[in-house]
Amino acid sequence: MRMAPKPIQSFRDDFTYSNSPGAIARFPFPFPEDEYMYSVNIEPHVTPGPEGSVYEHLLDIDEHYLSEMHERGLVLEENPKRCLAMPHMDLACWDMIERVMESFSNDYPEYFALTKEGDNWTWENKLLNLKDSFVFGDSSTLPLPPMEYIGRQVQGDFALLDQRDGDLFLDAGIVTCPADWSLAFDAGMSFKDWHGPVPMAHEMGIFDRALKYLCAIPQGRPVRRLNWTLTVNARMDTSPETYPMWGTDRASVTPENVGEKVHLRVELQVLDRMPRSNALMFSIRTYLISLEDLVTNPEWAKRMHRVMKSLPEQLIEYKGLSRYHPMVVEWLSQFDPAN
Amino acid sequence: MPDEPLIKSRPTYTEVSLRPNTQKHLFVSTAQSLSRIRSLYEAAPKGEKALYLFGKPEVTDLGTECGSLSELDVVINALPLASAVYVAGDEGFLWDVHNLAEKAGLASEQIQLLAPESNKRRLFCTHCYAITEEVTYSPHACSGCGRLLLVRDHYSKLHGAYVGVQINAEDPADIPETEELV
Repeated sequence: MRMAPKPIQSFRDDFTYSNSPGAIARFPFPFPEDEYMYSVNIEPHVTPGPEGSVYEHLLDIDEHYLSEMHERGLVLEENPKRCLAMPHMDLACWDMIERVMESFSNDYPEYFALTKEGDNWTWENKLLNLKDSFVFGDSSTLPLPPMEYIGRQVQGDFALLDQRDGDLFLDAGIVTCPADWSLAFDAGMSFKDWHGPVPMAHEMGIFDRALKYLCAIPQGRPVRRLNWTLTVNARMDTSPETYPMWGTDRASVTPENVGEKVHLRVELQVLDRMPRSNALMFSIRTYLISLEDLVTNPEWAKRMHRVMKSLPEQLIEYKGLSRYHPMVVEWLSQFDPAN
Repeated sequence: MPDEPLIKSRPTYTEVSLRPNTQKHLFVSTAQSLSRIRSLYEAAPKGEKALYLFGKPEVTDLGTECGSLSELDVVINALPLASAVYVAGDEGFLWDVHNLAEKAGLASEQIQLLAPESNKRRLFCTHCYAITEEVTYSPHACSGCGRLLLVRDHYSKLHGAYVGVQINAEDPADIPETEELV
């Protein structure tokens, strides 16, 4: 890992979260064109990707590792139901444990180590000072239920999608930094049902095509896509559960503080077929960057302005940007020479 | 055909008909919906059908009274393999019975739901997870945390409920007028 973990910073209250110049440089800027529209923007996640990039490894770890694991702990302490696994997903959870431990210990050997003697495994996470021995597949030998155990050691939200009847069902997950969706409510839903509230994309046939593509993903051929929204303050937990706590943030943006307060929130989503359960592991890795930091890259600044300016009204509404979107466009316009 | 809902998770309901090649037709209805399911029940072959009623119907010559979903669960689990279940009632009840039948191993094509008997919705609060029953207008106060919830069309079949989200979380003073739900 080229991004050594920093000491813990906060994603709430005083919001001490910050990106180093290195983290800004590797930020996954999501706009390939000056206008944004939905597309089936799924591509093979071939690893290793470019050295040092967020695509280098199957699962990216960066300087925010300790901060995000701390934040996850706070969320779960407040509401343990932010992690859920239906009984039939136990095997898929163990698939996930294997996938995370194998890839972490290979990709970041300075921080993680896995030793196996048959089904007797020992896992060491030097970043969190953990060393646990357990019997693979036997949930009673772990200190926590399998989804929570591994979910507390990996950045980003995770869902395990059960595949049956040509559909994908949201039957397990650990979701503490969602862009406004509730695992507790969406649990058990089919692919199209949990995307129910998304405007326009259903009519465009996006979900029909995406579902076919995802159901056909074979083992060892993970895929990825980027998704994005805007978030006021560096708040990881923008869940419906806590919306009463953060809703007023959206009314706190002013022309003076917009560059500092408004963050581009990008999700690097990776889907990977699990070997035993045939479930899809769906990782949603969230990156936050303030507009102030984003505009240090002139190309991004210009494009961000054009994308924001041409964003369809339905998407502004759906993404919850209505209250401050005009201020974002106005502030960004100073970085676009065409303006 | 029903109108396509704007939110795709909202269930649509089609015409219900007797399923062919069926060993046992099980009808489950609230007392209020009995009149809507009665003709279908009467059309099913004698000796191969049963009717379970929730609540006291005005007409008492039909069916067996069922006290609870757990009683019904026993009945459903005792059904022969090639059975069909027909359900009539409020939307939350429809999906409760549907989920029970699915758990007992029936395929979704063996379970038919009549359109809900009223506009009463079961509401799931995304903030405190409490359920509020018989919601007919939006916004509506949560029975758990008391927050004023916007009743959305996003539907969970598992919970048999619509999602509710605080309507004035961004601006406490911004409370829209109450609207009747459809």
